[in-house]
Amino acid sequence: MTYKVWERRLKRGIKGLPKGERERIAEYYREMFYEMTSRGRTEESVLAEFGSPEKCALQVLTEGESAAKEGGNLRSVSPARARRRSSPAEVAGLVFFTLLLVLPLTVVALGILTAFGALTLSGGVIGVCGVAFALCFPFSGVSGAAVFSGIGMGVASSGAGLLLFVGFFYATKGMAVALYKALRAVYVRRSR
Amino acid sequence: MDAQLKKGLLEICVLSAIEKQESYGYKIISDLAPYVSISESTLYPILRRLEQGGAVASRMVPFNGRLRRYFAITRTGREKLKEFIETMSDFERIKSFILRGK
Repeated sequence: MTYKVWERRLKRGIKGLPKGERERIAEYYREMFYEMTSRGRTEESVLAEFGSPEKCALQVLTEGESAAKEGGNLRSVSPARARRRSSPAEVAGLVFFTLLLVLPLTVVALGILTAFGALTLSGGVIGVCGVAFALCFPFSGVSGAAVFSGIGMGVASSGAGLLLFVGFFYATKGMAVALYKALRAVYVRRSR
Repeated sequence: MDAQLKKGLLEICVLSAIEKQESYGYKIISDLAPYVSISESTLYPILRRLEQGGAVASRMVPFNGRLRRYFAITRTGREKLKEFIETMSDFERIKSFILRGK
């Protein structure tokens, strides 16, 4: 690992701090690095002495937090909060990305509700037609055509509703899984 | 040693290291090395705390084509050192009492 990479990782660990404070910390380690290497130390040995940049960042954040608790002036952000803070661009991107996935999902959910409604309605038509047939048939066995056509329409719309329901169900399930995976990938990356 | 006690002692050590003349990070660690081991990661929060508490002031000085940050003790820092030395006198008496006859 080079010093540049080390410093980049350090800055990532302290990105929750104010910009001025971040620059002070980076400047401190940069100066220390130059002092030590100008005295004959190798880059590798200096970075080994510094330790992991994440540990250094955590120490700075932790010391700042305990100083704030003691009533000190050192501005601090808890380590967890420091990792979570995002730039406005990151937040806007996340909102846009979420909307992009949520809007189609909403359309599909509405489609499912509509299909379910159609299924219920067609079921009701079957029920009504069935009762009408049962009542009319004993008195007029010849012309049950109207009743039969009603039943037929009910069955047809039930079938359409059923097909729509199954199709929209699997489409919604697939999109919900994709949305979950995408959001998890984004949030896990941000929390690292 | 208790963490808080150690933190306080290190602050005093750093103040003492810059009492006679201003110094910079690497030199502070080097000057303290024979007496107390202090890492770069430990020194930074101490210096920041002292600076924000008004015990230390810093300035950038050009050196070999780059800038080096020097830290100097302030009046508040000197008072803090003086207070510690007085506390140590009390501590010596308490220590003598605890160790009497041992």
